[in-house]
Amino acid sequence: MDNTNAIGRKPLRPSTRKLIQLYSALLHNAHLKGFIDGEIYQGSAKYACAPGFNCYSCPGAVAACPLGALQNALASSGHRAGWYVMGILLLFGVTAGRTICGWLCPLGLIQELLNKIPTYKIKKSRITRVLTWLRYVILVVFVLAIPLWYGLAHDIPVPGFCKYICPAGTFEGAIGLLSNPANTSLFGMLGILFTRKFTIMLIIGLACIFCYRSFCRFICPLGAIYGLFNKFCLVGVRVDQSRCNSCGACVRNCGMDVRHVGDHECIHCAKCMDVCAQKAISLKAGNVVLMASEGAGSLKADNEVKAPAGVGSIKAGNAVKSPAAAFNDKAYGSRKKGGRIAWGIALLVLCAALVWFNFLDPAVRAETGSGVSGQAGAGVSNQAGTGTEVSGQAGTGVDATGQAGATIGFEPGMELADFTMECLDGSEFHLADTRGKVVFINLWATYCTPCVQELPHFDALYQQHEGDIAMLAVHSSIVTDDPAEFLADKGWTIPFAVDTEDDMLWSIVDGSSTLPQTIVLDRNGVVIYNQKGSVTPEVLAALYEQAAGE
Amino acid sequence: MNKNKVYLIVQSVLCVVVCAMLAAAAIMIYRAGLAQKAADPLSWIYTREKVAAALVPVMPVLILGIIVTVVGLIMKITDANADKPAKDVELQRDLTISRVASPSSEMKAERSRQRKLNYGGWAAFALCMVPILIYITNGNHFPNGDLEPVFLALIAHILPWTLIGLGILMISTVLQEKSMEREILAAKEQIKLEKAGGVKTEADGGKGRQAERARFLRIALLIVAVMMIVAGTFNGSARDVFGKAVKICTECIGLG
Repeated sequence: MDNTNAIGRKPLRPSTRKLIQLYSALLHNAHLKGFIDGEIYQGSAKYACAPGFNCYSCPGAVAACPLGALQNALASSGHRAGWYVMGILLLFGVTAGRTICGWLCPLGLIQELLNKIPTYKIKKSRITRVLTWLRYVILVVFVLAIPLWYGLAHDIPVPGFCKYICPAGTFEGAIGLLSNPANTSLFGMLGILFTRKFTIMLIIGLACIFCYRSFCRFICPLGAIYGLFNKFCLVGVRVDQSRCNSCGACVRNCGMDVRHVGDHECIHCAKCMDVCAQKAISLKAGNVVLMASEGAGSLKADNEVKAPAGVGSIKAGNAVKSPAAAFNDKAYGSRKKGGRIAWGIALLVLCAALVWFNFLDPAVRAETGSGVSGQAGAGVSNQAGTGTEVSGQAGTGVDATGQAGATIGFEPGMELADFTMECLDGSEFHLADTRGKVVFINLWATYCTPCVQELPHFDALYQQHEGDIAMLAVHSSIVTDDPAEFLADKGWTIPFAVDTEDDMLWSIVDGSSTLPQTIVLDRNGVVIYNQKGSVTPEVLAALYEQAAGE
Repeated sequence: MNKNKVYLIVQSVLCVVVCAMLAAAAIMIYRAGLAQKAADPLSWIYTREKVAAALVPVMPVLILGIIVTVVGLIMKITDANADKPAKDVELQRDLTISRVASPSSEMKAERSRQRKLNYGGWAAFALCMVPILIYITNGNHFPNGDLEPVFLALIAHILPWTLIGLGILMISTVLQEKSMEREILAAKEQIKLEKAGGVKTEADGGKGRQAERARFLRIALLIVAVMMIVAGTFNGSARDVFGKAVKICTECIGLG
């Protein structure tokens, strides 16, 4: 008894959803300037988590990824409970559940677009239905267990899902940054991790071409979390039981592995509204109808719709209309009008967001106003007291041999501007005093996994060449855990410092939003190496030999 | 052969070939770079030039794939089978039994069998998860802060159990569906009997209570969520989110 709508698909609704998805993707990535500059957004909007799956290292991202933030919170649970992220996830879950997956998630849009490529498609079956439980295994192992274990046992934040699986991180973050010519230096850190994640991304992408929303259905832990709230979330598709004749067209025509409309697999995309001849399905926020089929939405119309059982009873478009049909038309018209107003407001919001995140946000203006050399110049003149201008230009006329008079800057062949930093142990690190020694400067943060993992290598090198080497590990000015407390039980002997509020050292060495970063100076104070990314003991040994002239 | 079929085969093969070529290019760059790095630790495995060179043979196939895709979209070629409704035994069972006033003993027996299979399948799946949990909660398997050297061992312990668990669930599902098919047949018989006897089904009266419960739960959880956010703002976990989000975690996005 399949009552699939004989009237046909309403082309407006799916395209409305696509427009909303596109709108949401733009809003999630409103920092368009980042794609041009190759830098990520660093403004205060990143205190908030985005509802959808969107990597926060994407140059366009203006908010934090909820899943990345959750893993980080779990990894930091030894220091403090991550109430904030859990509260936000709960809030999103209760208000929208998996409606977020169907309407707002940028990765969902990408998957649906990939599925538009005309190929053979794998349909849902008992195999796909069982595979949906894989999401929960991934959630438990990679999102919960690995970050919790490494956070509690080793005090190292290991984002298991981001590191080993997440295709959004590879596509939006890694490839988004690497494709920008300004980030050529990032190629230096690519290795096995990138090769593995790139291959995983390709496999997931290929699966999405052949199988509708494969990532969403079989892998996505965020969907697994939101799915827990699906049955009682505020916004979602609802079935009017008084109209439903249990034909099952909704479930049979759904691309997801749903058993019932609104169950934990349902993404509330409302496509089922198109195939329901009874017009029993609508998208609602509580009791407010957000979207319904023309002719639905009124109990008064029930009699008319239900009276002659079967298809073809809905004749709202006929010349002679009953009062119920007229009422329906009126309700549909008012919803349409409301929709237009909502779109108008939404477009205004988008325009405001684009202007704010690309031009007006203080963080963006700071980037634009100072640039690399400007920032550095400002930081250095106070320290050096000479007003020396720090240049970020590739060293034209640079004395690469490190003779006196080399240009002040941060690129290889240049001399770093002098600075003094107060270390955590109370001592002072004065760059000018290190002449004659090989100098290693490391930029790190407690919340950066590769940073924490490579610090023991620095410590080993420092101890091995004690007296011939000067080393300073500088924590980012953004502090989430007390670095002194963090280092207390590590037993590392390197001098540690925290950068000043105005990022003085970051400016001098051209530190960026990418961590970790290593800068090596030879005995004459000339930069021989300034790279983002983690280093191995072999690389450190080679750098030492090169800097020491051995 | 139908033109649509030829198109779909060509396009499907092109998609697989493009992805395989891209993956192969990445692996080849990595292997060559690794050999180079063994000789010179400061050398880069990937460079823009190496990537550009590796993309040269992929580009013609990629461009061909894009052209074929555009042609397919313009000509509105689709897999006709994809638009057909899925066959769902469970749904069919639910729909059929909704028309039954009082289930027959045969139907009850099948339902009981399905319940046992369902619980059995899940119990087996849960059992398969136990070795995984034991493995990941044993600190000796993760001796230091670096997951990389023990990652393959982790996967080797997780994957087989996960596959076994999913396999058991799949077998349980297949058996349940067989039982459902039998239940549908029994239900149809019962419907015939009831029709002949003039018996009518009862309407479901529990929906109102469910909606009420959902509303209460929603409000309670919303209050909890707001309280958690406020607590998180004060305990510094909001700053954790910010700190992580404004710095590029190279490891998180797969850079290294």
